[in-house]
Amino acid sequence: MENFDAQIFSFLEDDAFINWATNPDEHGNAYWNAWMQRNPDRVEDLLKAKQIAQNLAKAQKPLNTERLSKDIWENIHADIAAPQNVIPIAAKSSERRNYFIAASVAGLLLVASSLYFLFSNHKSSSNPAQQIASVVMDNSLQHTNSTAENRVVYLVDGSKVTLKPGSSIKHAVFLQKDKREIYLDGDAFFEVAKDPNRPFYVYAHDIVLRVLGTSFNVSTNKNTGNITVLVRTGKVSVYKKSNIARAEYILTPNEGIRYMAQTQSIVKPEVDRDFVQSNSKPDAPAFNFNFEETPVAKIFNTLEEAYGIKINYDEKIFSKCVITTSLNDETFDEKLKIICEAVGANYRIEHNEVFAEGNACK
Amino acid sequence: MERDNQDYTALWLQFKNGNKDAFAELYHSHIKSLIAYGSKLCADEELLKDNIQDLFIELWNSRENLAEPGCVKFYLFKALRYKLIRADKIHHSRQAFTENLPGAGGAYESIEAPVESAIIDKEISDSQINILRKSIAVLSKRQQEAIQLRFYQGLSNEQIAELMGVNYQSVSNLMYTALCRIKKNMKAPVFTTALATVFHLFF
Repeated sequence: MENFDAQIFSFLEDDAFINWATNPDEHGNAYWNAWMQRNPDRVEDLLKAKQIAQNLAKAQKPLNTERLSKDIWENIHADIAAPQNVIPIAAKSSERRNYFIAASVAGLLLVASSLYFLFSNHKSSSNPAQQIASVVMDNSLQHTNSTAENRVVYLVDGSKVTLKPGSSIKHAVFLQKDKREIYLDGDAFFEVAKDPNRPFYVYAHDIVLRVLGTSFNVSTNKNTGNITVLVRTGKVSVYKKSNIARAEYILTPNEGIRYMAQTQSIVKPEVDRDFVQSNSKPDAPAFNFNFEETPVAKIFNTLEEAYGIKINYDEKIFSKCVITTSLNDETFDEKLKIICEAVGANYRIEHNEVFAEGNACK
Repeated sequence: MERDNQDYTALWLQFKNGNKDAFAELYHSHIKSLIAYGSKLCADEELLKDNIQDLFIELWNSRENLAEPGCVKFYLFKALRYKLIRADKIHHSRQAFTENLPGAGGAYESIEAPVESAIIDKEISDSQINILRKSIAVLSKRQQEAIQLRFYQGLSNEQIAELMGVNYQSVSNLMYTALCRIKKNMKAPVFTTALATVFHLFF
């Protein structure tokens, strides 16, 4: 067996060193820089150990936990939200799995029905053939679903919007730095990426919805102009456009409101099974961001279609670049970073477009 | 990981008092680490899902009687590990008649994973981190667990020893042999065709 360098290993035994290598902060930087000055003959070993620790940390990073953690939370939430006498929490047998499904069906039809939509959505994996139209005007990007089916639009912050046919959204191409403002016309299901420092606003005619990270449905009745909102996860604050200072309602999961266009008032209807079902996440073909031995040009194409943002690159230079990667929950920036890092390229954003540059792959 | 422990202790107290938001925050701030750790202990995603789910539901239902852990993350890891090993034992005692499994503890206790599994999907990618991943994937389960706890989860050697139920020196030995094996694997032609590119990744 190969031996591992004892000098390097001694660094990896040191808790403080590992903390700094995998999670560097100013305090650690100061300490280890001073240490290196005192021990110049060990600098090389230290840097190697640091590199190894970082690579091992990187190699351990789980690929995709977003969906799993969401699924588990749905079940926990359904369980603890239910009245104790409806769902006894006693069973501890190995039959627990089946028991669980039975319990959520019996106790919380509402959550169960929305779970169905969650699961049924993961089946589609190929990229939808017919895409929605994304147009840049001024500094805004408008996505319009003129197809006959539901379509998913990806936002640069990692949020997803499922647009029903005939619906559209408009937003700053790369979203604003301090907030994320989306203008909605029609029906859409929002899955907002969590970012407490950057509230997410949805403007729908006379009402404004403010969230930090959550999922909810907005639908507009074309005849009456009434708007219905139903929250799936997280919290949504509802404002009237005329009074942004005070929230009319703060909605939690499975709560909804209806804006009555005629009287310009907001009411909170009883949420029953039909209400939840008609406001569940619409089934839509999702984009497949799992790439296996895929040419970079093809990956850029997929991103362009999903986000509606133009990516400029030299096809000749990238023609031999092929990568295998999974980019499902990352933000647009992170996706670009991963791709560019893999092929040794750089990218910059200019005039609301992306420019990728690099050297030819061998 | 110690940095935020103070905040989690405060959240823990709120959760004990029945605050669901605090409970949700505890869940969301630890779930990624728990899945990462759990997937090292249990290859069956459904089983892992059930156990994490049960763990949190049990926590909620017994919240009033829970102690205040020194480190929330460590506490959750320990609880999950206990559940998964137990689940694994139940699972394997059922199969014991038909399958000849090593040791009483089932797959988890197996010392070394077969090298054949090294050729994961027979797909050899150029990505350097992938090569490292594959080199780790063929270590024994315990070696993999220790490596993850140390480098990804940020646990101290002492915590790892307590979690894995061994003494400090054993963790140190486990880590050393794991690193030796990774180094050896990185040079094996099974893992890489381009030796030179790997060199700077793992010395």
